[in-house]
Amino acid sequence: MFSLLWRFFPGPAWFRVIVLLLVAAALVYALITYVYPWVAIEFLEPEEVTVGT
Amino acid sequence: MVGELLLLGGLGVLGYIIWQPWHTGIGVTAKQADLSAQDSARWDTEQTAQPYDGVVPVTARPAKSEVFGVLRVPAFGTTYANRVAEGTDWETVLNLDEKGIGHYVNTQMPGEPGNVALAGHRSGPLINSFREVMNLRVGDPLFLETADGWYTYRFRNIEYVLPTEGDVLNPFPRLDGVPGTDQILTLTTCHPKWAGSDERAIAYSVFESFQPRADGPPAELLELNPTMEGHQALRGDQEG
Repeated sequence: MFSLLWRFFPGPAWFRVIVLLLVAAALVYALITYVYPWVAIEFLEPEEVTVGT
Repeated sequence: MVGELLLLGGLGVLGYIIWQPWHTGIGVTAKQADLSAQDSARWDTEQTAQPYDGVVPVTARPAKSEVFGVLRVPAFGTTYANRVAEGTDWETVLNLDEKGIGHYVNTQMPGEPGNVALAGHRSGPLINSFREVMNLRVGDPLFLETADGWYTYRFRNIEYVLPTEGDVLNPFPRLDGVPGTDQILTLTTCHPKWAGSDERAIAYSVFESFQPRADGPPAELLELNPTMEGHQALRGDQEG
């Protein structure tokens, strides 16, 4: 898969490295803004904190 | 191929493990400090405070899930500030970044004899308002700010109870049928931290003094929380 990714983008090696780094940065940004908050709300329950209920 | 996918998945999970404490510890905490400063400024300008004639005012009972106060506890962090809303509902109060602390609707309001009981998360992926509840030491101040002014409480003790022991919310905590004459502030949160919620940690504080809004924040709060000058939390670019 990593070799497929490497071949997917055209251009010289140095350019591919830059493009792939940008793609990785965009991926991390999407994870932080959309995926992780969604996971936190959907799948992870906070602990109960109230008494007498 | 499969190995590479697993590697990426592992990195994603690792990323979550790094993200969550960063989000709850820094992101949400900063958001609360900001919102609290905005509330203080709003109460200052609106001047809806009840006139102060030497009698400690009783906070007007707010609508369900409405924000009516800001809790500042230097023992939780010098700049700690968290909004307090009415009700202990998960979806509309306790789980929300912009609220987080809920007031039990069947308990008293600040200024009334009896018990002001608040609930908040101590751990978990969302907001951890009472994360540092174990940092409280006897005599530590807790400042509950409302539109009327600042109620100062002194921490007295902490105990661990079962979730069924609702008598910690009584006007006289733990005693049934006794009208409370003291003014108590009770914090309830989960216990043990990060390891289920089989028990509850209950922190009791006793009312000490009230400072009307016209007099500004209590001197002790200004001393313990240097960002409180001018009622607003100053950011780096505002210091001077």
